[in-house]
Parts: sequence; C-alpha cells; structure tokens
Amino acid sequence: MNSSRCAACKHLRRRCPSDCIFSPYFPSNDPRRFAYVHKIYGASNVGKILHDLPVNLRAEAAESLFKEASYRIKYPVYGCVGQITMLHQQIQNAECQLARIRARIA
Amino acid sequence: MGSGSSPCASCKLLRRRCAKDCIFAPYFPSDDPHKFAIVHKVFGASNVSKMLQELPVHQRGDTVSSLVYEANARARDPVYGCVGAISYLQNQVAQLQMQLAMAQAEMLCIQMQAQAQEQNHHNQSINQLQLHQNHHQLLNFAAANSNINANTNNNNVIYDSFKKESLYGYDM
Repeated sequence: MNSSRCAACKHLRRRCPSDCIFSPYFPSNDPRRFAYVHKIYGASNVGKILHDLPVNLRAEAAESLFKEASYRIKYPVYGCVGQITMLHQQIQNAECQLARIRARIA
Repeated sequence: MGSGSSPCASCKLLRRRCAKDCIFAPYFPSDDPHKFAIVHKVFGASNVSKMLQELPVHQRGDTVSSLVYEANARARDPVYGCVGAISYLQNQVAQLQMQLAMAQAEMLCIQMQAQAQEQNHHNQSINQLQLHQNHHQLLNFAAANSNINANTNNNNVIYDSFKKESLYGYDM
C-alpha cells in the first residue's frame, strides 16, 4: 500500500490502494493535474479509459487527457477544437502564400 | 425543448423523463442517438450538463459541437484523442513555414541576381561610352598637338591635360 495517497485518491478522499490505476500518472505533488481531468471527464471515465489501454500507453493517455482538459477549462466553448481550427487556418494561409511565391519563381 | 411524447436522445439513453426545460434536448435530438452516446461515454452526462449550465444559451450549440468532435476523436484514438491531431497539424505548420522560408530566400536570390545583371549591363554601357570618349579625346589631342616640339615633355602634358579634363568630375 502506498505510504502517501496519489492526487486522485486525495481528491476523491479515499484510500489509495497499491494497484491504484491513477497513482502512476497523477502524483500527489501535482493536484491540479487530476483536478482538471476529473472536472472535465470525471474520475470514473478516466479510470475506464486508462483501464482499457495497455499499461505502456497509459502515461501518454493520461497526459493527453490532462492537455485536453486544460484546453477545455481555458476555452469552455471550443476546448482544443479551437486550436485545431486555428491550425487548419494557418496551414491554408501558408499553402496559399507558398503557391503564390512558387508561381512568381517559376 | 423536450416534449412529453418524444424524449431527447439523452433522456432516452439515461432512461428518464425528458422535462420541458431539459438542458440536453435542444442539442441531442432523438433521431441521432450516437451523438449523445459518444459524449456521455467520454465526458459523462453529468459533466456535460454542468458545462452547459455554466455557459450562456447562445454558446451551448458550439460547445456541444466541440464536445462531440473531441469525444469522437477520443473514441478513434483512445491514447491521444484530439491532442494527436494538434501535434500532427503543428508539425505540418512547421514544415510549411520552412518551405515558405526557403521559397522566399530563393526568390530573394533571383531578385538579387537580376539586379546584379542589370547593374552589370549598365556598367558595361558606361565603360564602353567612356572608352569611346577617351579614344575620341586622344585623337583630338594628338591632332591638336601634332605641331608641338618633340623636345617638350609630352608625357607630363598629356597627364596634366587628362587631369584638367576631369572626365568624371573628379581628379584621376
């Protein structure tokens, strides 16, 4: 059993078992990380997502969930989809500019 | 608004009565059950309800659309979700910016080469004109001084004449 609870179990005010699915990815020294994912996804959904993945992919999944949750908290209407839209626009602008310059060079 | 005869997709899935002021009803019609199902799977109905309640009504439609997008992305890619798409697009932007920088450098090179060539042509034209003028002046000078005594220091006279002439407005 862990001598100190992970951030998730602290937040949920429960005992942190030795096989806690959250503890490797939500350490107690970063409470904001779990608070964000819990606010957006809920602990139960996060647990299910992690549980359904092989162990070697869970860290990446936890990190991406935290990033998406951060975007959603910062931008409640569009979340990270706003960022995707902006990037599509940047790509379109850059492609237009590139085509113009290449036409001039040719 | 929910109606007594036809619950919205959310209330159907949650198996509850669809109230008149159901917060989900305007955005999750009963003819598209998948839309709410995927959002509920990823975010949970309770969390979605809280998010919508915290926003003004006119922003809820866009919020639901973006939540559906994110939920679908997460269902397709359970590890990276939308973040995977962001990384991919950021990479594309970086590559395009590099291509753009190279194309701009190439264009600048071509412009400089064109300018240098133009300058060369201009300089060649001036040189030819100068040579022609020099030759003409030499001929004139030689003709004008053909009767001068050979004992005089012709070299100095010629040099002094050129200095006085000051063809380009400065001393040679």
